[in-house]
Amino acid sequence: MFIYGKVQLQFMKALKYLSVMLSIILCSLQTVWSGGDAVVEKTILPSLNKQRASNAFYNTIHFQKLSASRFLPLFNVTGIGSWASPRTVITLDGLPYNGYPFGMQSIDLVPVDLVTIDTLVAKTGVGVIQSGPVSGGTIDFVRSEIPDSFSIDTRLFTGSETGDPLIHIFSRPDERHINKNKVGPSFALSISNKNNNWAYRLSGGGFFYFTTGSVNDGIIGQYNRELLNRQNRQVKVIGEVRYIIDENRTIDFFAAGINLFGWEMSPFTSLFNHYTNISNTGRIRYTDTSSGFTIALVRDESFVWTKQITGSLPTSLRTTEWMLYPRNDISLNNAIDVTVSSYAGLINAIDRSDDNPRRQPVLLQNVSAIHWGFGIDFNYAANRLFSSAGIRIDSQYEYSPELSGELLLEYRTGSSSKLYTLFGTAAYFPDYPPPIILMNRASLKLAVIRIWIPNVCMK
Amino acid sequence: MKHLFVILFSLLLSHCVYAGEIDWERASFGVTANYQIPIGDFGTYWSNSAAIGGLGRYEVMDRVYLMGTLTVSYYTPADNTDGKSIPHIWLINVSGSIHYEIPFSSRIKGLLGIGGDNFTFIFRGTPAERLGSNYIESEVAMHGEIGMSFQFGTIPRFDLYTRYSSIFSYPDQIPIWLSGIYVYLW
Repeated sequence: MFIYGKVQLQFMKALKYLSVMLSIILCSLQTVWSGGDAVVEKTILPSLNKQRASNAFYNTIHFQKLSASRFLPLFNVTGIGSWASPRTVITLDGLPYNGYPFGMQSIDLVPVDLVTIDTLVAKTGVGVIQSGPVSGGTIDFVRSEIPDSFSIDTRLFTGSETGDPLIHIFSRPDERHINKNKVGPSFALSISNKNNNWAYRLSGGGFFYFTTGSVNDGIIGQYNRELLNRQNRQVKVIGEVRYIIDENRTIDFFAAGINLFGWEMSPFTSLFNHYTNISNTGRIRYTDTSSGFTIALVRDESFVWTKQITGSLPTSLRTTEWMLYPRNDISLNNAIDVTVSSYAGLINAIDRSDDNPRRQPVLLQNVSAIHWGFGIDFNYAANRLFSSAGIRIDSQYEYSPELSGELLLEYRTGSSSKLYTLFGTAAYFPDYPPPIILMNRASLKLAVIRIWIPNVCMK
Repeated sequence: MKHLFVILFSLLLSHCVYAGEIDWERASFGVTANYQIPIGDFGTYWSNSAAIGGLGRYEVMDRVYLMGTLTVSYYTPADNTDGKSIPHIWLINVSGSIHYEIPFSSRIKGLLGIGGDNFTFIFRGTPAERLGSNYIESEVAMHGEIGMSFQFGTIPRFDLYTRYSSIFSYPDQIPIWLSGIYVYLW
């Protein structure tokens, strides 16, 4: 009896230690996953004193900044991405935007401007969204409603770093003078109106900057001194039209383009290059709020070319993506909602260097792949309890279909605190399929990565 | 000097703002001209220059004024540049300051002022071509100022002043002496 009691005591002690360790491990996982912050979802209200979308993130959430220059940050809200492949999916009104040069995903290269953005929603956890599994969080640009009456919104800004060389560039030519960091006169403008069943908004913006001021100036200067001193730009043009069929049904047209001209380190070569990129997106969405049905047709395109610099031939790549996104939100009763969503489309990546022997190939072979996916989500909401379960199957590039899923349980213990657990798995598909040939003739193999994210935390 | 930078940037970043209804009776506008004597490398490799521009002034309380000026000047290389390739410079100075008046008589007053500046250098000419399109540079400066104010009959009020500005550039600051006149026309 005594021995049994001692064994029981030791067993209880071991169980206690095990539970404590498990709690620490689980909460540590969450801490690592979200970059030191237990935020799963964060809504950011961009104010007009911010220059660009990335500025709205500074001092707001933790994120991993991967940019080599000061002006084109590649974001990873989870903090575990790599230079070659940032895993955070950037969406525009819930649907992904994929018009980035060489897959260089930056929230500053999304062709929208803060002047027409209502909120930025960052989610740091693993999950499933309509376009597929998400292993590295999401950043969603939520556009503001087009005003009911004629409206003009604008902002102008410019900036120059103080304490830089001025006349000393000429009076002391033997000294090293490269730090002349500045933002040129930049602007954003939006004009909108509504007329009967039609609402429209035309907007645009220009951000002009010099790459100088970075520790990499010396490297860039060795590649091409003339281009180092050229003003870089990110210029955006956006057109939006909404046709209101009746109080429940609308059709939205969205077309936008962005022109990038500037230096950046290419994600999979780790070499500086001077980019000229023209990206555009066209989106049509039909929404019926009475039945919960929406369908969207999306076309994203990027056409990028790099200049010849010391040690590297010019390159050129064109990517096009056509996607159809049908979705139906069904409310079974006051507590249970079911969402059925899917997508199907075609991805093309064409190496435009093939027809020019003086260009450096980027891809071993051109890519043409069909992507498709199907998912279903169940949501249950009671007084303090919210639960969500989702599962989906996705097929991208030549990979076999991958299953992903998530389970979220959330219990609100008070007005500002909650206990939640999130259990998810997400396949990670690279932006471009292997093999990719690099500019230095090395090759990089990318593969599907399956990630399990268990966490239990009190917030 | 590092501490001065810290204090300056703290003030700039704290966004000190004064807002109030404008009483146009307290506001006056005019023109200004000054002679600029740069010191250090700026004075060695460029000739002295003259500037012209406009001014605005607002009386916030008895004897205390806020003043803003905008002037433009043009600098040419000095006669002897030691073989260095020196460009021409358009210099745009936007200045904001607070002034305190010391009355000596009904017609003559003394002036003390302190403020901040933005100096924009626009480099022109063949030597500036190596800067590419990055040939415009702006820098912050601070200045102190003393002067005398005169009011005679129907002649518009005018101030004679001398100002010492120091531009925060790297590796050395650029000091400039400015001596000139404010004429209040409206």
